[in-house]
Amino acid sequence: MSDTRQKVIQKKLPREVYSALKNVVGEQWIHESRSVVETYSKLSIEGGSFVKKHEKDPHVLPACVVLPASTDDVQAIVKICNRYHVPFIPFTNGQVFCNPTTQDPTLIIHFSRMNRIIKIDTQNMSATLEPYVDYAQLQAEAMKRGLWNGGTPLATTVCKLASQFAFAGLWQTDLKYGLLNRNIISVKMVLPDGEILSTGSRCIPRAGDFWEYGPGPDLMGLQRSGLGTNGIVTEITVKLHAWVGDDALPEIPGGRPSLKHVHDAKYDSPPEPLKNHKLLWVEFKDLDTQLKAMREIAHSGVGIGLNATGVYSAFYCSQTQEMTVQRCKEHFFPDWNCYVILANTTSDQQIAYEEEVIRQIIAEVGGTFLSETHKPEVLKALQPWNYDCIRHSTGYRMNRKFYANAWLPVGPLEEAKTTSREWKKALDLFGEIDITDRGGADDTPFVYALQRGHFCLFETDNYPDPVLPEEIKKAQAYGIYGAAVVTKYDLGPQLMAFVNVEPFTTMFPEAGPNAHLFMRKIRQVFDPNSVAAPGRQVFTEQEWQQFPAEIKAAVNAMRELNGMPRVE
Amino acid sequence: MSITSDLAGIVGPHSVLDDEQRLERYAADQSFVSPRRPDFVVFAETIAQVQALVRYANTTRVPVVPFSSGLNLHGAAIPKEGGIVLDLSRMNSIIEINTANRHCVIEPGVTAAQLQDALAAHELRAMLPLGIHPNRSVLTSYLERDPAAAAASFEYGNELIMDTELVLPTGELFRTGLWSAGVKPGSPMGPVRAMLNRLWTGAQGTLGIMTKMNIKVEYLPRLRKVCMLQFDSFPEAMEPLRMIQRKEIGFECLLLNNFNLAALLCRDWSVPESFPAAMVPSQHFEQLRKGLPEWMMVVCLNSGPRLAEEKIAYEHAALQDICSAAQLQLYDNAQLENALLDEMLRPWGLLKKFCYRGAVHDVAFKTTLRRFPEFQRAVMELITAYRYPLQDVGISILPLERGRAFHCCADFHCNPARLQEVENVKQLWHAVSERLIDEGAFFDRPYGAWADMVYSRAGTYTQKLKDIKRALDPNNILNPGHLCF
Amino acid sequence: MTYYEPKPHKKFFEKTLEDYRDSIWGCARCNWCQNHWAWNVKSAEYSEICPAFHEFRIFPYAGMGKMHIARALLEGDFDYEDAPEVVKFLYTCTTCGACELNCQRLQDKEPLQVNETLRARLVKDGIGPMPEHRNLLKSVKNYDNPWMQPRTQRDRWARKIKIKNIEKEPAETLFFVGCTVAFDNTQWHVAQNTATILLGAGVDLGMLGTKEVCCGSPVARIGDRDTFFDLAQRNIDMLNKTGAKEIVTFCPGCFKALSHDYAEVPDVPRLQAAVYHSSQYFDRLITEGKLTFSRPVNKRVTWHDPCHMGRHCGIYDEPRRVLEAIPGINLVEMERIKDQSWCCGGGGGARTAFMDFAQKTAAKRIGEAKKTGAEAIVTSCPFCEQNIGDALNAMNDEMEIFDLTDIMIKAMYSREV
Repeated sequence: MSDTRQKVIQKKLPREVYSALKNVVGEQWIHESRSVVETYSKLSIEGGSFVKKHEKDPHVLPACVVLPASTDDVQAIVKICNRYHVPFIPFTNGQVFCNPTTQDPTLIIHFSRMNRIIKIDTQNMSATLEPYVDYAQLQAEAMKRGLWNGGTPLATTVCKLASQFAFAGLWQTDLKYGLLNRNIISVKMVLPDGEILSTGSRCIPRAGDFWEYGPGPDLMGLQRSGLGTNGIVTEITVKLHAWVGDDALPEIPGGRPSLKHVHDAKYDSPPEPLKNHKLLWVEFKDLDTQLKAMREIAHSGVGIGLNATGVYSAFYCSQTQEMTVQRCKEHFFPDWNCYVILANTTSDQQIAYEEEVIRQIIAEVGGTFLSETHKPEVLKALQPWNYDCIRHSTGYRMNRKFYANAWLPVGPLEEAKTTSREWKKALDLFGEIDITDRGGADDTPFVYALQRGHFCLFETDNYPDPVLPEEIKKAQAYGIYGAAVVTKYDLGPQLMAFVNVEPFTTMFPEAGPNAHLFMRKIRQVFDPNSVAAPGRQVFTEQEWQQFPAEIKAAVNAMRELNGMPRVE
Repeated sequence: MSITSDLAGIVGPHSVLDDEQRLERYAADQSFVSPRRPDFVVFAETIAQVQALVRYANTTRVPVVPFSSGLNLHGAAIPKEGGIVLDLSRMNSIIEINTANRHCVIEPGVTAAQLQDALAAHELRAMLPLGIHPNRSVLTSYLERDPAAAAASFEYGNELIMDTELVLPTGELFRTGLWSAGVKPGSPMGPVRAMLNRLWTGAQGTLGIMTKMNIKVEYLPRLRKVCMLQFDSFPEAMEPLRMIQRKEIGFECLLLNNFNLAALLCRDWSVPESFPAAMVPSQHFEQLRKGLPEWMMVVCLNSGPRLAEEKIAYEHAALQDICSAAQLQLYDNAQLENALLDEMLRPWGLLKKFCYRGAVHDVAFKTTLRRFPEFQRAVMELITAYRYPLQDVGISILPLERGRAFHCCADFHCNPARLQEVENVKQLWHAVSERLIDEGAFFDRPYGAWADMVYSRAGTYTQKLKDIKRALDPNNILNPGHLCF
Repeated sequence: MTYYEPKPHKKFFEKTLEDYRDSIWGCARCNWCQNHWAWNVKSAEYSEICPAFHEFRIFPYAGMGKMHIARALLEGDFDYEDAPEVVKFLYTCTTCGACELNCQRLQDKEPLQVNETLRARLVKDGIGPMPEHRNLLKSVKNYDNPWMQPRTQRDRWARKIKIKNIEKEPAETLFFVGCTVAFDNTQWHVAQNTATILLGAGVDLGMLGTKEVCCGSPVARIGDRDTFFDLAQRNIDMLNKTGAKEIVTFCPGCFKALSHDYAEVPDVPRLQAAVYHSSQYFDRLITEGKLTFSRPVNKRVTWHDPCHMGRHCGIYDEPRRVLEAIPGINLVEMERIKDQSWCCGGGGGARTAFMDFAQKTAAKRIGEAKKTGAEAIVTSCPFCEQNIGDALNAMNDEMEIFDLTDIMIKAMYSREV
C-alpha cells in the first residue's frame, strides 16, 4: 500500500473540451471538482475499484462528470469526445463497469436527469423509458394500468432498465418472463461515433415502437451486454405483461422500521402474499432431490417463478448482521429448497390448479412444504419474499458487507451440482473469507430456473471486508478461478464479467471460439475512434500487448490450476 | 485447376453439380425475385467442408449462397450474383433430443415433419411456424423468424433458438449461447453477449452459414382443445382478441379469413411438393368459402403434462367468461376443429392454398392491433384499383406475445402460366408493399423488392448493417445482392 | 475478520470519522439513500426520497456521495483546499434522515451520522459551517436562541395564558416551548393552543418562561458540538432542577434534542424527566378520556410527517390518531408517508443557507399533498409550517397549512384562542 496520507488528484480535461461540453449542458450540469469525481470513482461490486482506492491509484478518478438531459445532449457530448479523442463512460448508479478504462482523462456521462417514463402504451403493453428510470418506478406506473414489467431484479430502485440492457437483468420470475433479454422491444442509442441508432420497428418512420427484431439481421442483440462500449441507450422500450395484483403494493407495517435506537418490533411484521399471488416453499433432503423436483415443476408448465436460495435468505430476511450470521451458523433456513411463485393470470382457479400440480410432484419426488405445521417460524421469517418476488426491496441487504465476486454460470439444471462442487474446491483452495461464503457449498447455490426451466442460472458469492484489501484480492482470485472453471466445464457465465470483459475476452479464446477476434471487428464498426470505455469489452491487439503482465500471469495461473494451457 | 475440380477437392466429385439442367432448379422459386442460375451447386456434409468452401470462396471471390430446403418461397436463396449454391440438405441429422431440459439440436437439412415425428416419440413437440412446409428446414425457418403458430404465447412461441453453431463469412467456426463456452449446447445465454444469435436471424445467409441450432421443444400436451369464434369483420374481433390475450388464454391463437380457412379444409387439395404448385380447381373450396364466416378466431388450449382436464377446464371457463361478457358464442364445427387441432402441431395444411392458382405472393408485415384496420383499408383500395378479386385474398393474422404485436399476411394468388395475371398481381403486390411500408407497416424480414423499400427508410440501421457486413464479410461472398448488401 | 464483531459503545457526539471507517468504505452504492423504499413506491413522480439529490442530481448531494467524500477525507485522498465545494455539499442537506433509515434497513450503515460527523469536523477545522449559519451560531451563544431575540421576549406569547412558572411553583409537567415558536409571533398560536389544550385537560403544566434556553438542536445539526455540549449541559441541569416528571414539547427539533441527542452527549447527566412530543401527549389524553372534541371540523386534510419527529424519533401513528379522533376530519394520505415521508426542505440548516432549495423541496411536497385532494396540510413542526407556508404563499396557492393544535382547537372551542 502507498503512503496512507498521500493525496490522489485527478487529471482534468483540456479546457477547450470542458468548455465545449459546458456549452452543451450549461454550467450547472458539468462538474470537475475533486469531491464530485470522488463520488463517481468507487464502485459497488467491483473489487478492482476498491483495491485501487486502497492503492491510491488516481486512474479510478474520472476527469469530469456531465449530466445530459436529452438524446440530443448525449449526441453532442459523444461527438465532442470523438472530436477530441476523450474516452467516456456511461454511468447510472456505479454498480459495475463504470470506472475509467484508460489512463487518459475520462468523462463520466451521468444520466440522473434523464429519468422520465416517456410513454406507457397500455393497449400494446409496452413502456418507453429514459436511462435513469428504475424498476420500482416502472412497476408503480404500470401496475396502476393493470400491467407490470414481468419481473424484479434484486434491487428495484438501484437497477435501471437501460443500464441492465448493457449488463445483467436477472429476475425472480424468469421462469415465465425470461430475463430482461426477453423483454426489450427496442433501444434508441447514441453510438460511440455520435450516430443515433434505433432498433426494431421504431427504426422505420411511422411504424411505431412495438416489434423487437430487424429489419433483417437484428442489431439489438448485438448491442445487448455491450457494457457501454457499443453505445449509450437513451431510450429503452420494454414489454409489459398482464398484472393481476392490486394497483399498488399494499402498505404494510413490515419493512418500516424506524431508526435503530427507536426500533419498534411492530415494524418487523412481514407481508402477506399479494392478491392473486402465492409463494410455496419446499424443503428437500439433499441437492439431488431438490433438482429433481425443480425439473419436474419446470416441465409441468406451472408458476411464474421457480428458484432456490440458501444462504441468501439469511441476508434478505434478517434484520441485523448478527442475526444473519447466527442464522447462517444454525442453518436456520432449509439448505435444500425451492420456492415457486404462482399467479392467477388466466383464472381465479389457476393457483389452486398449479398448487395441486406441485403437491403431486412433491409427493412423488419427496419434499416437505414449509407450513403452519412444518417449520412455521421459518416460513414466517421468509415472508419478505412475498413482496420481494415481485418488487425486490431487500436485495442489497446482502451481507451488509461488500459483494466483490460472484460466480453466475448458466446451464442446464444439473449444472447446479458442478457449481456447488467447484465452489467447494475454491473454498478449499483459497480459504473462506466469511461464513456466508459457504453459501452454495453447504447449501444450495442460488438457482434460477429460466424460461420454463430450459436452462438455469446459479449463483455463489464472496463477501470480503472492504477495509481489508487482502480479502478483496482473495475474492478476485475466486473470480478469475471461476472464469477458468466455467470454461473447463462448458458453463456459460452470462452476467459475470467473463468473455464480455477484458482481460477474460482475450484470455479465454476457447469461448466463441476466438470471440475476441469477432468482437474486435464489431468494436471497430461502432467505435472507430476508441472513445467508448475503450478496452473494457475487448482489447485491440495493441491494448493487449500493453496490458500488465502480472494480471496476465494471474489469469494464466488460474487456467493452469484448471488444466488449461497458458495464453500469451 | 478449374473451380469444379477445386470444389470437388473440398466436398468430393459427387457433391458438385454444374450441369445446367440441375442448376436450373436452384435458379428461381415462386417469388418475384428475378431468377439467376448458380454456376455450381455443392453439397456439404460436414462443418469442415463448409469452412473449407467458404475459405475457398474468399480466395477466389466467388459468391456462396447457403441453401437448405429451398422452401423459403421469397427468393432468399436465389443466387443474385451467381456463384456457388451451398446445399446443406444432406446435413439432416437430429443430433440430440434432450428430454431432461427440453431442447433439441438440429442440422440445416432437418425438416419440419421429420422433427415433429422424431420428437413425438419422446412425448415432445417443436413449436413450428404457421404455414411451414413439411419438407422445409426447421433451422432456416427459425433463423428467418417465421412466426410460430404458438406465437401468441409469450413463453412458448417465441425466442425458440437457444444455441447456434455457424461458419463466419471468412470461414471461422463460431458458436453462440452456452455452446460458445465449449462443446455443449444448453442455453441461449453464454459467455459472449446475451443475444448475439439474433444478428444472424433474418439475415438470409448473408452473415454466416448456420450448421447447427439448438432449439427449445416442449412436452406434448396430453389434452388439447380448439375453440373458435366467428366474426363478420375484423374490427369486431379486436376487443375479444385483446381480452383473450390479456388473460393469456390458450397456447396457439390465429385469425384466418374464409379463403384461408376454406383452403385448409378443402378435401380436393393437398400440400404441394414443389412451388409454384399445380392448380387444382375445386368446387368444394368454393362451397366452403361461401359457407364459412368472414373471419374465424382460433384459440387452442393445451394442457400440461399433469392434471390435464383441470387445466383445460379452467382455461375454457375463462374463455367462456369473456364470450359471455362480449355476447359471443363459441363456433361449433367438429370437422373444422379436428383440422385445426392437427394444424397446430403440423401447421402446413394452410399451404394447400397454393392449389388455388399455383402461386401465392404474400405481403407479410407486423403491426399493432389498432392499426390493422387502416392497413386493411389501404390494401382494399389498391385491390379495387388493380381489379383483383376481393374474395381471392387470403388473410392470416397471428397475435404475437399476447397481442403486443401482430403478424399479418395477405396473399395474392395467380396462375404462373398466365403472364398477364402474373403481371397484374406483381404490380398489385408492389403497390401494396410500397403503400404499406410507407404508411408504417413493419416488414421485419425484407425479402426481394421489400429490401430497398425498407432499408431506404431505416437510416443508421442500414448503415450499420452495411458496416458490419463489411467487417465480417470483407469480400462480400455470402449471398450478395440481398438485403442492403 | 472484525467487521461485524461488536464495537465498544461510543456516544454519537464523541464519534469521529474514524469510528465510521467500516461503514464508509462499505457503502455499496445501492442508491437507496436517494430512493423511496421500493415496496411503497406508488408513482414515478414521487419515488425519490433525498431532496438534495432530487434537486441537484449528482452524488455528492446524496448520502452515498457523503460516504465517499468522508472516505476520501479520512484517508487523505484530498483535503479541504483541493475541494472547497465540499462545504456546500455537506450543508445542502436537510438532515431528514431518509438516507439513514433506508441504509440501516439494508446495510446497517449511517450516512446521516457520517454527514453530521463531517459537519462537526468542518466546524472544528474552521472550514464550516456556511457563512449564513455563522449569525445563527453567534446568536445562540449570545442570546440563547438562534433568532437574535432578547431573552426577555421569550414568554410574550403566554401573556394571556395562566401557566405556572416552574421556577416559582412546582408542576408535574414542563412545557418546553422552543425558540422558534416563542419568538416568532406568527407562530405564537401553536404555543398558545398547546398550553390551552393541556391546561384544559387538567394537566399540571409549568414552563421556564424567560429562563428557557435553546435546546441546541440547530447547532448540533450544523456541527458546532462544543456549543451544543454546553447547551445540553445547561438544559439538563436546569430541567432536572425543576423536578418535573414529564416534559412536553411540540417542536420536533427540541423533542429530538431532549429525548435522543442529550443521551449521546459525553459526560453529561441523564435527563430525569420523561420527554413527550405534544402529539404523543394529546393521544394519551384522548385515550384517557381527558381530551374530547365536540365540534366537527369538516375538512379533508393530509398529514405531513416532520422528519425529526417521524423518521428520527418514530412518531407516526399518534398525530394520525389525534386527527382521526376529531369529528369531520377526513384524513387522506400522501404517497410518501411515515418513514418514507418527503422532507419539507426546511431542516438541518438548509433553509438558512439555501432558501431556494428549501422552497423547491416544499413545493414538491405541496404538489404531492394536492394530489390527495386535501384542502389542507396538517403538521406539527414550526419549521415545516414555516417552510411549506412560505412556499404556499409564493405559489399563491389556496391550500392551507395548519398545526395539529389549530385543528384541535377548532374542534374544542367556538373560536380560535
